[in-house]
Amino acid sequence: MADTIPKFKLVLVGDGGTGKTTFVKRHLSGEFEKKYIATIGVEVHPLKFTTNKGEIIFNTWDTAGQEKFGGLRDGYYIQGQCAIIMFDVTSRITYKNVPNWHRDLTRVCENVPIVLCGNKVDIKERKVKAKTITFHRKKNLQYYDISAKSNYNFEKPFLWLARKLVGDPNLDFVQAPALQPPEVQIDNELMRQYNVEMEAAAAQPLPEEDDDL
Amino acid sequence: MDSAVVQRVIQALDLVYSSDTSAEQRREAEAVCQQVRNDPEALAYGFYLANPGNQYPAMVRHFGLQVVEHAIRHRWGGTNNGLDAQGCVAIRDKVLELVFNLTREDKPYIREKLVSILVMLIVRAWLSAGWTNLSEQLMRLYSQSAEGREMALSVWRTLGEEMFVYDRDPVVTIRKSHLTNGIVGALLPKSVVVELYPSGYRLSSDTTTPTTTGGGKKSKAVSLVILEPGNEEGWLLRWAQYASELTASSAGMKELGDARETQLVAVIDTIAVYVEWVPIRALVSTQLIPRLAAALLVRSDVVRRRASEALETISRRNVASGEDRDTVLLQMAQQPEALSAIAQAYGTTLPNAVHNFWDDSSEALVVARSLAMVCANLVIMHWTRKKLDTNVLPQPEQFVELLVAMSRDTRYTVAAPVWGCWGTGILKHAAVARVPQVASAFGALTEHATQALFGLCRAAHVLHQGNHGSAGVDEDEAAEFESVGELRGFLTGDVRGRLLGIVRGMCQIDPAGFVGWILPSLAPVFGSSDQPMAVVEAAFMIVDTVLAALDEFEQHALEESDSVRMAQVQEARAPCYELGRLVVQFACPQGDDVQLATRQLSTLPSFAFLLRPNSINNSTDGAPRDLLMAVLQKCASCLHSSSNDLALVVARRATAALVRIASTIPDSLMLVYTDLSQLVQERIADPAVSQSVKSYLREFQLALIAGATTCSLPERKALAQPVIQPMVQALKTLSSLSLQSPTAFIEFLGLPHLDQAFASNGGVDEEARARRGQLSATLSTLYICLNRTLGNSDTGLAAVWSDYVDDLAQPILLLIRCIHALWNSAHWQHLPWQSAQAHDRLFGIAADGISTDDTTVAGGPAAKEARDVQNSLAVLRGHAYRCLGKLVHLPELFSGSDDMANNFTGCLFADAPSLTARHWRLLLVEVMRPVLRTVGNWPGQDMSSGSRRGVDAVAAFIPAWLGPLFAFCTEQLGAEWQALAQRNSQPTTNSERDVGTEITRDAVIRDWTRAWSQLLVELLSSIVYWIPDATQIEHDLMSSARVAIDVANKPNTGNPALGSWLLHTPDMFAATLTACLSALRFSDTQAVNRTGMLLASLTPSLALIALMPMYEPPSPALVSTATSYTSRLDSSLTVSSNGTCSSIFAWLVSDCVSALAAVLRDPLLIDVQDHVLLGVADLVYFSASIVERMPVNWSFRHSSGANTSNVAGDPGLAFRHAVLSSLLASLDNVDRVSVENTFALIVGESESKRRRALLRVALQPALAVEKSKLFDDKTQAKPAKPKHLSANEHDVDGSWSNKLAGHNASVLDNDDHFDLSSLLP
Repeated sequence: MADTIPKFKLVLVGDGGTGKTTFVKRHLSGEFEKKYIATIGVEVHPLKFTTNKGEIIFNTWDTAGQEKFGGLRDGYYIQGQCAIIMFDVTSRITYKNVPNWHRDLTRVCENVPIVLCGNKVDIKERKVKAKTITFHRKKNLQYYDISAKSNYNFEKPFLWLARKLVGDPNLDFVQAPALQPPEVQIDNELMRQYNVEMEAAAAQPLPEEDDDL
Repeated sequence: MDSAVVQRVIQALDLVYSSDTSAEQRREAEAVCQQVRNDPEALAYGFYLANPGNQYPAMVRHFGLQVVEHAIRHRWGGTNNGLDAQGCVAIRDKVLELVFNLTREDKPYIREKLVSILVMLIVRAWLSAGWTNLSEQLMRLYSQSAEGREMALSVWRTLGEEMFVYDRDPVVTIRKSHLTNGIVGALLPKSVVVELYPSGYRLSSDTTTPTTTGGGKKSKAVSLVILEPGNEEGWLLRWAQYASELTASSAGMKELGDARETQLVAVIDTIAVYVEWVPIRALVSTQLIPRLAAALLVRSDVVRRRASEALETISRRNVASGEDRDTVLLQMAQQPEALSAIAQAYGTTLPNAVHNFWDDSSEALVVARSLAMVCANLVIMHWTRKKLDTNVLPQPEQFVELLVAMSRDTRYTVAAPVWGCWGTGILKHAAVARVPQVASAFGALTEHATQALFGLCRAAHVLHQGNHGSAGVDEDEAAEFESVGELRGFLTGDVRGRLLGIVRGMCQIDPAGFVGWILPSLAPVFGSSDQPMAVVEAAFMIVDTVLAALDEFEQHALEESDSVRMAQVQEARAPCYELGRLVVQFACPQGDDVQLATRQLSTLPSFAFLLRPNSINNSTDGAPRDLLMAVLQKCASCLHSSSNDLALVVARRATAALVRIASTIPDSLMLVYTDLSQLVQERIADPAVSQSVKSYLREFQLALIAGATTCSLPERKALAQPVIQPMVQALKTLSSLSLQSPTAFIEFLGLPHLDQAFASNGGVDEEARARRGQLSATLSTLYICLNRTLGNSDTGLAAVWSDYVDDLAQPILLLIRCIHALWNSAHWQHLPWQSAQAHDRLFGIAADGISTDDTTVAGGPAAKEARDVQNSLAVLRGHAYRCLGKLVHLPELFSGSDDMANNFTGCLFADAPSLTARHWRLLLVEVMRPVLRTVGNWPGQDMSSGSRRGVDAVAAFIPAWLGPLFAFCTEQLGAEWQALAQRNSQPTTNSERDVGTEITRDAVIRDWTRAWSQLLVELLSSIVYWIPDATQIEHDLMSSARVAIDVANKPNTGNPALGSWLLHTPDMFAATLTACLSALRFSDTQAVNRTGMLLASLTPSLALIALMPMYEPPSPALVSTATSYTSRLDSSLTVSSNGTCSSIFAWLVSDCVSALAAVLRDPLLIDVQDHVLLGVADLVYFSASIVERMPVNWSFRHSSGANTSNVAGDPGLAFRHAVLSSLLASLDNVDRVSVENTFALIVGESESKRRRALLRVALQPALAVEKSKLFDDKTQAKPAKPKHLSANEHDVDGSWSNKLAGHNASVLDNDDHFDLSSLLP
């Protein structure tokens, strides 16, 4: 029975410390990792979701963000069917490096659906403002603000990828993933403010470059 | 090579690539792979595995290539198993062999990896002596087969991206100019190179010494464009022709086919990387623009998209001057071939045509948007450039027609950029707007813009109600937005602004005509109360825009004494008064929604510019005066707030409108002051008007008095007295009764009663509550009034406030002292605090700035009262700080400086140890920073000479508290950060409250840290006022004729009096710098960034000044210049009597470098790394500045001394040597020889970016990229290095002198054949 569940290789990339492992571990048995322990090489986690079309598994390849611990680095991307690029909204440099991750990814995985995620939006000292997040618009990626700590938008990237991979825009998750309880309650006012900024950002013309980060 | 190893690798890779492998197995398998990568024979293994002849699976071949890539990245030119020049050539040949042997069956990722490796090699070694024939090699590949052509294109594309798009490989930065010259020579046709660089090119086979710019000491090797024999055509033309061939052969095809589409995409993408950068002349000579435009008509969505994006990039090219200034515009908007293709392609994207031409309608939208951007860019960046006062487009009909068509596009994201270019470009450009073909489009444009505006507002309202379907937005367009709110935000933000830009532009072209035209459309809207809200809102927007446009128009006319434009405004006045009457009379519909009422009140002040005194006095029909009174009465009628929150919002908006009017036309209001004053007094006496509204009314009165130019000082004092005196009296009374001791203040607040209420569950003390409320209101009003009339920009009432300074400052200082005392248990422990609960509520966790949860309120009347006291204290504390921060703008406050200093220190710091982080943050931001910014820096002083009065005031006021503040904040913040780090290293808890509290604590400490860094920046900026950046000092020293350094009118935010005092007070100067370095230890990016940036820019200047006295200037003029710099600092800082290095010298090379190195090591400060690297590189560079780049020889003043504490030999060399030692002592894993070599390169490198890149390469192994170090097992930590020696203890390595003897410029400057591989670590 398990063999009939569709499985997709999902590659999770981004700078070190942006919260990739924390994000993945939020699912199922995971817990919020307060301590930062750098991922070495790669860790593969099968994440199962229940949709209105049946179950789906994302074999999530959580790759090392730091060069030193990179292992096979872009070798892990081979046969990737979808990807998440993660950055930390409290660190400008991690957003500045997003184009590099995207380039490395698309060199190996051609034409796969990719989601860009800005993690740690629960922290009020946000450095990467919504209006500066334009890379996804240039490259036709999907973008989500997320917070691994508070579970904010946890399922959104997976849902978008699932819809793209299955080719069904009506696909929905019918059962919430078994997430750990949130460590902090997301500040709804803060999220509202971010959304307003995001709306304003959508109205901005695309900057020529992102040098002003 | 060991075949067993190969087998192990293959097995390991099988495990790694399987999803089912356990984590432990994977770890072991990866270790095997890692071992091979680090093997001395790694390259041999890599090439063996990658070789297609060995028939390994693609994943294994990919790994082989990774091994090769790793070796190139990490062993290039290194000392340990490093690759030598011969080895590099061999790698290149092997990689090229693999590239040539690729087949269509090879996986795309193999091809990409090979391309990436080849580009790494190009970046490192191309154009060195061993590799001059890249074009020939790639040409062979390009001609070999379709796959080869794709590979060659991919190599060029990736190289371009590495060079101009991505910023990852520091070697690119180091070799950028060299590679750029190579790429120019390779891409451009030889004819264009010869034309553009008649004497600036050479053939790659020519090994003679390059020419120089001329004689003299400063002559420098010219950077030459390098042409490769056999590549006369150039790659750009080759690609353009290839694209044309493919486009032409695709004409008429209904389907393009995958292969052809891939080819076209590849060539367009490659061109696109370079179009942003190649000379415009090359674009013209290769006919790139029409060729790309032709690709817009190919039957492939993806090709059209790429072509449109490439054209968009070209349209953004901005050539400000020269022959090619208008070329892009003429090529795109005048050349029928290109413009017709663009127009035709745009036509295919229109909703009614899209299905015939596009597979995916959303792609059509993207291309339409891109083409709209092309046209908008052409208008804004080329046709209507600000400096261009002529029309350079001889036949604009077709282009204007296209612009009008795009303006009518119903897709907002397509039309918006074009609306923008009409509003901000064409309509504002007199020469273009006068062109008949353009002017004839205005009528239709105006009509459409106003209709679109009404439509847009309706759509926004529909979306606001959540009804997406009936908003009339294009489906594909709406689908691009994540939510209805996002779409609505887009419409009401950027799009609306652009449409209003058209209204503004049209109004300024013909003011009277436009107002006359729009008035009949607006009259029915304002004349009826049942219009849809969206329509009324749009009407208000139009009115606002029209009035703002006319105001701006009139201002310009006045500034330029333009009588014609003045007459046009005059003509527009009558319809504007009519418009004003309509707006004032508009009756908002009754109800809970006050949106229209506030909108109306926002619009009213916009009429002020029509109501200036001369308009009122010169009017024959009294219309301006009537309108003014009508506006004021309308505002006043909205001030009754009752208890309704919405009414309060309206009342607040009404007072804001009054203040705006008072600020804009105070003299007009003075004409009706009697009536106005009565109106205001009635409201102030009215119990239905809230206290906050009354505060704002006083603000209005004072703003009016401050701004009125017709009032003399006595008159102002007389008018202001009734407003200010009640506040002064209230504070004096409070001071004498309740602020004489903390105990009295505790009584005033009603705390004993509150305590009893907690104990007995009794009622609250209403009188105490009223007292607290009254005091809060008084302070709020005082702050609002001070803020409005006593600031940096507006000191209109400074002279009035001066009369009250003592009466105000004293009670406020006492109040602050009493508030602080509440946090010190010594002051209240004698009170009968029966309830620990009461105490906790007031000063417990809330004291840290962490708010208590809502259960506090639910705890009965006593708990509610406690909450009220807590809020009152927060308000009182904030306003007291802010009021004091405003009063320090008055010099009179410091007239008895000693008393004031003692009083200030006594009141603010009496209970300093008990204060919380939030107190400190507020104190630093609201009091200390304003003090440091203003003390001694009062208006009207001669800053260039550092006014004695100002410096004396600083000297009398600052020392008493600044030193202790340094010590206290440094120690406390250090302890807080240490505690934070400890908490973070402890295991997590599952309690939400704990985590929330921790996050808040973290935020509070960060806030304090940032406030502290801002204060330090204030001090540093004041120092920087007297010490310009190092480049400027270097320039002054090189200009030997210059003897006086001018700092007057220097754009700087610092306080010159404070800066001068600090520089001449060695102890405080040292304490300031030490505090700044200590602040770099606190891992808050924002704070460190701020302090680090200023330090990084200041330290090179200090290095230059510290070194100056150690050299003998060769001419009197230079002596004078050098002295003028050194005299800015106390001589003990820069000069040493016995030949030892000065204290600044020592501070820079030891403390400062160590602190900056610590930042480089800190993984939490990775965002600051670039600034710090630049600072250190500049420190090294400018230490050599005096002797290396001055026009005449400077000699060493201190040249001998066997004692190690003396500076022997070249002081600059000794300085760099000491910097090197400090760096090595502070950073692990750095190779001394590499850094030494890098310093030698930096000294000769004139470009700061390259200096930084060089240092980055040298320090790479030690830079904080490994956050995991934070959590390393302590037992594995490396033994600590011995504490670094102070600068005085370093001996100068003699070999340094030998290495740099006679060295005038870097290798990069002198050797055009410079081979980086021989130098890179």
